[in-house]
Parts: sequence; C-alpha cells; structure tokens
Amino acid sequence: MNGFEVAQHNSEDGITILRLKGFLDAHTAGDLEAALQKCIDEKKFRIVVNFEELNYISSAGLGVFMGFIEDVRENGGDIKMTSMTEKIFHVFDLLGFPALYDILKTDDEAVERFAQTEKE
Amino acid sequence: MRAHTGIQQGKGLQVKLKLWKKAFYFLPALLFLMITGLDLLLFFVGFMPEVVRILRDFFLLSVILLLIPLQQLFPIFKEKKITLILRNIILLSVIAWAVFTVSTGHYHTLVATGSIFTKLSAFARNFLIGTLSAVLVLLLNLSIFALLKNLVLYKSKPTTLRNFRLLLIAILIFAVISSWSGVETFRFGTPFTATPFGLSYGAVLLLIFVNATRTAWISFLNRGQKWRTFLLTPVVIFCSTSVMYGIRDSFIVEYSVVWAALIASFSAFLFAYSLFSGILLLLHLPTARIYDEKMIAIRSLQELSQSISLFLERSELMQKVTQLAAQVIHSDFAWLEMYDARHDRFTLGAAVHLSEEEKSGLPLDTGDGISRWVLRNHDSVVANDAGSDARTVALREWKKDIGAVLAVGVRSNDRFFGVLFSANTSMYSFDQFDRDMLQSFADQAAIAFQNAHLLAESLEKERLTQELRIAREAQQKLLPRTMPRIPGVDVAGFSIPAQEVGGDYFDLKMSDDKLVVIIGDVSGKGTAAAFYMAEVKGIIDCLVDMHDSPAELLARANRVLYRGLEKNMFVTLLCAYIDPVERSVTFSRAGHSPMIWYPKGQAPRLMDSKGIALGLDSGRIFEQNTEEKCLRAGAGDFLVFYTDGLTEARNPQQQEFQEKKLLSILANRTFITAGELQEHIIAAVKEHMHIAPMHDDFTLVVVKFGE
Repeated sequence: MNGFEVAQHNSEDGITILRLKGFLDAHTAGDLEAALQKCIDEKKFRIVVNFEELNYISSAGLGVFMGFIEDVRENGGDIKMTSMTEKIFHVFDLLGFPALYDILKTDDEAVERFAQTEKE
Repeated sequence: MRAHTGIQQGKGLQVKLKLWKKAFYFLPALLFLMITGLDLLLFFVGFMPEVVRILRDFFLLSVILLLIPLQQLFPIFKEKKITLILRNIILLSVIAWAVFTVSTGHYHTLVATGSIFTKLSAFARNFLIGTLSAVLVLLLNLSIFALLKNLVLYKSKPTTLRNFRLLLIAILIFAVISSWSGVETFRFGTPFTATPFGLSYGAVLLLIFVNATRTAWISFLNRGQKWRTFLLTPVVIFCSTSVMYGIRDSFIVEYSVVWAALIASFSAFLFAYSLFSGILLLLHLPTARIYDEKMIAIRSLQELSQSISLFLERSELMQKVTQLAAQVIHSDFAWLEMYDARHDRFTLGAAVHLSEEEKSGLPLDTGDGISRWVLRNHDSVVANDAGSDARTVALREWKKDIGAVLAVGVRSNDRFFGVLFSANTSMYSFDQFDRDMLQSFADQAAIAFQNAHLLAESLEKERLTQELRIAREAQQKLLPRTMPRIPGVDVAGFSIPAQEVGGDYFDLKMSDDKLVVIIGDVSGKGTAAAFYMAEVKGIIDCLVDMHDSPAELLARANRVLYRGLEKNMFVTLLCAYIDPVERSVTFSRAGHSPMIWYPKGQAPRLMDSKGIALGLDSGRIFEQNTEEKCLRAGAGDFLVFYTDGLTEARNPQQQEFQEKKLLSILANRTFITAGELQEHIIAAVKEHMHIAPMHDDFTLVVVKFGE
C-alpha cells in the first residue's frame, strides 16, 4: 500500500538526521520507532527529523515523537523537526506541537540551533 | 371413487399374481409326476422308442429349468458369508456323494418282464431307490452349483458374471446334445471328436476352466479359515471326482441322459473349482500370518481414524493420536512433535512409553534432524538401520537402544501440524506397509487437528465479536442519548466509530444555566482509544461543575490526564460554554479542530485559537499556550463542532474532505434546525466517501441559537 522509509544520515558534528518519506501511520510508526530507538541505543541524542518527503502523518505517527522526546531531552539532546510541507505543519500546528518542539525550515537551521545550545 | 376402485383392482391383481406365482412353484413337481406316470405306462408297454426318450428328456430338462427360479425361496443361496458358503458346499457335496454311492448299482430300467404284480413291485422299487436318488443327486448338485456361483462372483468384474452365464448355457446345450446323441455316445464319447457332442463337451470343459480360476474370496479368509478350508478341499475333490467318474456308468444315465449330463457337468465344475481353490490356498498359506496382521492393522486404522475425529480439544487430541499411532503399527514407543509456525520450532505434543526424564531430554528440532527433514521434503522417513542414518544421530544420543525409526508428517492441504514418530528397539522392524499405514493415520489425524483448530478459531472469533458488541453498547452509553431541551438553543449530536469502538467523545452538560459542549478525540482508534475516551469522560464529568472557564477546565483535565496517559498518546478537546440568553460563547481549544461559527446571513468561519492537545505537556507550557476566546452570537446563528474524522474522511482516490469543503457546503444555505444542518453535512461526507471504508471515528455536534 502506502510505503514509508526512514533514511539515517550522520552529520560531522555528531547530529543524526532522519529523513522521512511516504506515509507515517499506525502501520509504519514501528519503523520510525525502531530508527529513533537505534539513535538512543547508540547514544545519539541530537536528532533532526526532516519531513520534506513525508506525505501523511497520523496520530500514531505523532505519538512516536512524544514517546521519545523525554528520554532524549533528559540526556541533553533534542528532536528538532525541519522542512515540513504546509499540510504536515498544519497537523502539528493544530495540536500545538510548535509550543513544545523546535520546528524549523531547514536542516542547517536545526544544526545551528544545536550549536547554539551547546555554547550556552 | 374411481381412484379407490383402481386401488382395489390393483390389489386384486396382486393377489392373483401371488396365487399364480405359488402355482408356478408346484409346476416342476406336477411335471415330474406326469413323467413318472408316463414311466409307469412305458413300464407296462415294455418298449420305448428313441423319440419318446428324447421328448421325455426334454420334459425332465424343463423340470430343472423351472426349479432355477425357486432358489430365491431358500436363504441358503443368499448367504454372503464366505465361511458359511464353503461349509454348505462341503456338506452338500459329501451328501451328494453318499446318496450317489449308496444308490449306485441299483439297476434302473424302464422295461421289465413278468406278471403285472412283479412289474408293479419292480417299478415301485425302481422309483423309490433309483428315481428318487437321481432326483436327490441332481438337486444337490444344482444347489452346489448355485452356491459356487456366489463364490465365483465374489468381488466380480462384469466379465465374471458373463463367463458364468456362458458356462450355464454351455452346460444346458451340452445336456440337450447329450440326450440327442443317445446313451451310448454320452457313455463313451470324448470332447475330441468333431461332433456336436464333442464340441459342446469341449466348450463346457473350457468354460469350467475359465470360471474355476475366479477365487478372489481366498484373500478375505483369515489364516485359520485358510487352513481349515485347505484341509477340507481333498474331501470335496474326492466326492466330486467319484460322482463325475461314476455318473457315466450309473443308473442315472438309464433314467435320463439330460440329468446325467447335468450332474456330470456340475460335479466336474465342483471338482475343478475345489482343485484350483486348494492349490491357491496352499500358495496363500505361507504368507497368511503376515497377511492377517496387515489386515488387522488396516481394520484398526479405520476404527482409530474414526475415533480420533471425536476429540476436539487439542491437547487431548495430541495424546490420543500418539497413543493410537503406537497401536496402528506395533511400536515400542511413539511421540508427536508439533510444529509452531509462528516461532518456527518444534515442541513435544505427546509421547507414549517414554519416561518423564526421556520426554524432557528428547532432542527437539536439531537442525539436521528428522522433523526438519520431513517439514522440508514433504516426505516421510524410514530409518530401519538407525545407526547408519545421519538424521538420527541426535535421537541415538538421546536413547541408545533405538534400532529403527519411522516418522511421518501430519499435514493438511495448507498446514503442517507436526511429525509423528514411531520407534522400535529392533532394527529393520518397519516396512513400506508400516510407513503407508502410519502416513494414512497421520493424514486422518491432520484432518482432526484441522477441525479442532477451526472450531477453536470460530469459537474465539465468536467470543471476540460478542465482547466487542458489549464494548460498543457500553461506549454508546457514555455518549448523550437524548439532546437536552434548553430554551433558546437547539442542539443535535452524532458520533460513529470507525471500528466497533472508538476514541471520539462528545458531551452536552448544563452548568449554571449555561450549556457546556465538549467534543474530543483520543489519538488512535479501536479498543485502546475507547478506554481512554471513557477516562476522559470521567475526568470531564468530575471537573465540569467546579469550573466556569473552559481554559481552566482543560488545564485541570490535562494535569490529570498527563499522568494516566501513555507517553505516545494524546487527547484533543474543545470546550464551549454557551449562554442561551446572552448568546455569548466562551470557548477554548486544546489541539482540537476549531469550531465553525455560522452567523445568520454571513459566511461560516473557523474560530481558531491557540492551544495544545492534552497529554503532550505536563502542565505549565500547556497552560501558557492554551487561550480562551469569546464570541457574541446573534439569533439564528449556528455553531458546528466536529472531530478530524470528518475533515479527513477520504474518498476512494484517498482525497480528504477538508475544512474548506466543509465551509463551502454550508455557505449561502439556510437551515431551520440544528438537525437539518447536521444531516446536510453527514450527507455531503457520505457522498464524498462514496464506497471508501471509514477511516477514523466521526463526530458532529451542531448548536443553533433561537431566532
């Protein structure tokens, strides 16, 4: 049916970038969960999730981020979201995610934001 | 009336037919008495022309032909049990021989001299000893022939019956020709002459040979019966030979050539048949014991296969199958390894004649073992010399005294249930037959397992459906069943879950003369969402009376819910306090789809406000970011509350309904009641979805301010 892919990319500053593609719903949420769990197991707590090629996100997909955010933040890291299409952003916005998560335009902005927090 | 008469007539006809039939039974006796009367006449005449003799023979043959239908009166000819047929044949042939031997030597003549008195007494003696003996011998031989027919036709092919009928016809023709050819020809003729007599004689011999080879019944005797029958065949051979050879020189020829020819033919067939049977029985005797064992095995297989279908409970079935498997083929021990497809592994289902210690030590699923081999190759394994078979290494380590192993798969068309093992301490104790037997048994067992599985599955499904029905009913009770009647507002509410139960929620409450509308959606759908929906309802019910601000109510609900909710779940809520008199609406939105305000005569609009879904934040950020707004509505205005199941309803092309369309279907239309507007939206969504399945729970609440 509707596929979903997560591509992992490690940047030089120790930041992990996950690129989501396709449909993120109850059936595919497990894939994203596995990818995030892997980051945590590898002690990579600075995570950028790129939504550029994501077509759809359901409440189960949103729940994945909620499940990991506490763990990641407690370890001094964060999950920052970037490159959302208008449609995807609308979903996050309606639920009030922007008040709780860093939602940014580009990966570079996210990397920069990580660098800033590092300095502070 | 007419029909009634018809039936009576029919009955009358039946009675007549029966009477006629009974009269028919006495016809041969009557005919025979007439012939005896003729004999008496001839006795006194002292002379019999050849023509008269042949005519007399013709009538005597008719007597026999008329006797044939009478055999149905005697149950002895209907007997189907081989041993009883054999016993009757042996008995009758001994009696026939005894009667024939005792009466032989009696001079039978149709011509006598002397006074009338002498002649009369000679005739009487002739009749009592000679004629009646001839009748008896013929009847006995005819009976034996009828009994032999049952043996010949046992497990017959169509040609068998044809051959037997040909034999009977040949015998009748031979009898007629014998009579025609005269006493001398019958006494000294051979089949090797090109006369009608010789030819018919030859035909009878040939057909006797053909029919005598039909001895299928031998296979169905057990060893004891085979022995007994074999030992008694010489008796029958002796009796039939005596009659066959004695008949030509006997008084019966003098009495009637036709009868003598019939007796000769029947006893010749009896002789040939008993000789063949004797030889074949002798050939069967060495294998009789094994044959018997296999027959018993086959019979028990049938019984056992039937009995396992009675067990429907899996563990019971496994135990029974293993027990019976050990019986089907005599094995020292047997066990059943069940295959667990989900985990791709074998587990011990049941075992017989194995100690608890041995059971726990059984090497299950050793990659190169037999079970895997059977699973992979769709075949069975006979390892008669266990020591030289690589697949039994693990088994031999487990149990040193294993000599031979037999293993068959238990599988139905699409499922592999496991492997049935049978093992013996002695080597070479299993043969192809055992393998086939165990395989047939395993096939039956597979059907039983399949049935048990299907039954359990359907029971489970039934139970789940029942549970879900109860859950659905329970959840429906959590939603308002009737709309509150409040002066100044008209309310309509509607909610339908995508599955049996769902996570959508709405409620309508009165608090200090205000109508409180709450609509919400628990993330996800199905049973998990339904449980949290009930929790949300409980929390709201508790809090609604303590707060008169929607934002406060939501903030409190968030703090309570955050602790109880799964980390990855959230709840969206929208709460509106409506004053029906002032027409003021105070509302707050916690991540929920915004409500629509449709002022009379203007365009409908989405009433957005800042807010965060419940369960995302523990409290502070939620409270800072969730605002409360107020609007003052006019008479005839509408408020529309909905969940995202409405705006995200998809058509078969996967396109969502969306807010834009929701607004556009309302614009420039006037609705009289809240219910009317609600129906309009539901109809539009249904039309959009067309045949696509429901994707998410769907809830809609409409409020109309009175004019």
